[in-house]
Amino acid sequence: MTALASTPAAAPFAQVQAPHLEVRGVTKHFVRKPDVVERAAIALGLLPPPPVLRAVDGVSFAVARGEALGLVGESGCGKSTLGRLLAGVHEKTAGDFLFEGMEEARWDAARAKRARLEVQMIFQDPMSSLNPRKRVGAAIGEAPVAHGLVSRRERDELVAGLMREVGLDPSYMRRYPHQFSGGQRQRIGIARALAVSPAALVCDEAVAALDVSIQAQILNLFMDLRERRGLTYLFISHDLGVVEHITDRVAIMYLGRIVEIGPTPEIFAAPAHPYTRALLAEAPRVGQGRRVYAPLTGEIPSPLAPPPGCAFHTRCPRAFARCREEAPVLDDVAPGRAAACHLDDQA
Amino acid sequence: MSALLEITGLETHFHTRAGVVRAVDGLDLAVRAGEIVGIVGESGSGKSVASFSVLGLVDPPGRIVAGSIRFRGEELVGADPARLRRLRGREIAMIFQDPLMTLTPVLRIETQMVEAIRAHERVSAKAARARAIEALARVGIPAPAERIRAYPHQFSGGMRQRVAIAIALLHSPALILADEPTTALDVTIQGQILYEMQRLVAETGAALVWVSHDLAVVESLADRVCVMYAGRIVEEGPAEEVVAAPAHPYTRGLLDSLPGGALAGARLRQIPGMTPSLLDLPPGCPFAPRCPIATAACASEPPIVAIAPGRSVRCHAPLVRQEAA
Repeated sequence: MTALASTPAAAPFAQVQAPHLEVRGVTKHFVRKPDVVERAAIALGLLPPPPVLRAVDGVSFAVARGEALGLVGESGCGKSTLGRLLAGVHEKTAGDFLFEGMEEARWDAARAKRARLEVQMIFQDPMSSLNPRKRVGAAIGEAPVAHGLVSRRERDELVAGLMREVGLDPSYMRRYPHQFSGGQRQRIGIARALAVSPAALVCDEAVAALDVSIQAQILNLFMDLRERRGLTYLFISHDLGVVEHITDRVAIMYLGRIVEIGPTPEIFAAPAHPYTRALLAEAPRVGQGRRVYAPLTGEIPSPLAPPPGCAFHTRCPRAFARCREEAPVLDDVAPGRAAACHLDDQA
Repeated sequence: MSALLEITGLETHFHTRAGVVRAVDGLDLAVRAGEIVGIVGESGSGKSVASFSVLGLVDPPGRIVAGSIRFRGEELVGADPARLRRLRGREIAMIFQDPLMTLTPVLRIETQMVEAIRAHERVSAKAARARAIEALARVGIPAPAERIRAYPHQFSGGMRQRVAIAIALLHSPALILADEPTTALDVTIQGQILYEMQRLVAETGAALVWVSHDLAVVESLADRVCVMYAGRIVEEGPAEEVVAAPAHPYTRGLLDSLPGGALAGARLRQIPGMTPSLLDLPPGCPFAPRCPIATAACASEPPIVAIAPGRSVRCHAPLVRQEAA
């Protein structure tokens, strides 16, 4: 694990063992529940059925044990929903979730419990995931006691160890969340996730709300934890610099689907999908000097009414007739790299 | 050449029960006509309070306690509130991070824009409406004659920010203060807004002060960048030069802590400690407790050192020194 973490570019694709986490054709639809009157109206054909929001639409990927996969996209692309599906926060509508290579249907009770506990989530705003009236020691130590991993008497010892591990002074155990700064609160959130000894962390915009100098501290902590505990990461972020820095592979999402996936350095050096290209071109980077912006036209379409064919064709500078009719599938473009674009078929 | 906006020794303090928060603590800044100035800083550096001070928008317990703000030579500190109201929106416009700070949710865009025009000019409602539609077209809103009838919630975040920009530009202000206007937007939408801002500033010749925590956005846009820390500017100069060779240890630390780039995967250099409480700043240089090269000298007030024309740093031991002529 240590060797793997120190050379992120050389992440294993042809791993012998089964991937740690895998999804196959996973889909999550949200439908607003109609009330009684609406249900009657729909049954009589007076109202159309409520629209379906396809937040995640047939997504497949695998993450190896100890690997860090980035999930990038703009608001509404489904990256957070996908992360929550993996962490068990949402129930999927369709598709398969495989834990250590085994489909959910074949899990026994022990494996189901492990799959839940081994994938923990870290949120953007730790304040909204911490009970303001609960002392942080109690918040961190709650889950391991509830799951019977430690006894109540051992709790404080475990919490002290976790707080030390994430860079907090254990003597602050009896303080309340509001007595901590933003960066410290994120450390509390991390300690709480680590309390049940997870093997994988889903980090949803975990550093987005932090100032640059604090963000660096938390990113370093994530890298330390990965090395020390051999953690698998699903790192959801809109910040391309953050993703480039700490992930081995990256998946780019647009309107509920993955449009490109592959090793992070390769995609950043030579993006294949027009959307990835636009995303990388638009993001300003330090050291590029002044520039004249030439923006990608159009808005992100609503996931309630995605355009037909390729969802990106309304904004794509290279769209042609086929893109408006037929949705492209995610196909290999190079070893370990795939993109969903009709342009790749023409070569 | 005289400056359009000249701020000297500005101190805006908040008198709270816990003590005096020195949010802006000795700010000097000059903006020339047509110039784009970027102000960069982390939370609590005073960058937003500084721009609010210019417009006289600091609410109690906040108060400008010292210094001067001159706009076209006219003193704004202590000016008549009626005079400030005439300046705001007409000569000096402001764009906020959240466009809903500018827009009321209960009125159509049309009503709000016509009102904004007629607050400063005696024109007919019809003429005002025509101007509003033109302004919406200018910021790239498709079908402006129809969209003007919509309410703010019927626009996406990016479109809403365009409406706020259109309102800010209604009276062709000489100075636009923009406080994190693209922070809440997605990357491709941010690109569109930056494109419109660049084009509009070039077309109208307005000066733009762009306040942001994002050094990369500021560098891509501004002629000049000012780095703020604990209520004052610690480094100032042409954006490319400051980024290529920062002179203040804080600027250096900020740049080093940015992820991505060539050093991907390596541990990031981090600035130790936290941003100081503005309630009790240490005497001397406020960055000294976190500074890797601080010495005993840093307990005294650091001097402003000129490095090159238009480039200065407030530090006892700047990382870049004046080149011997």
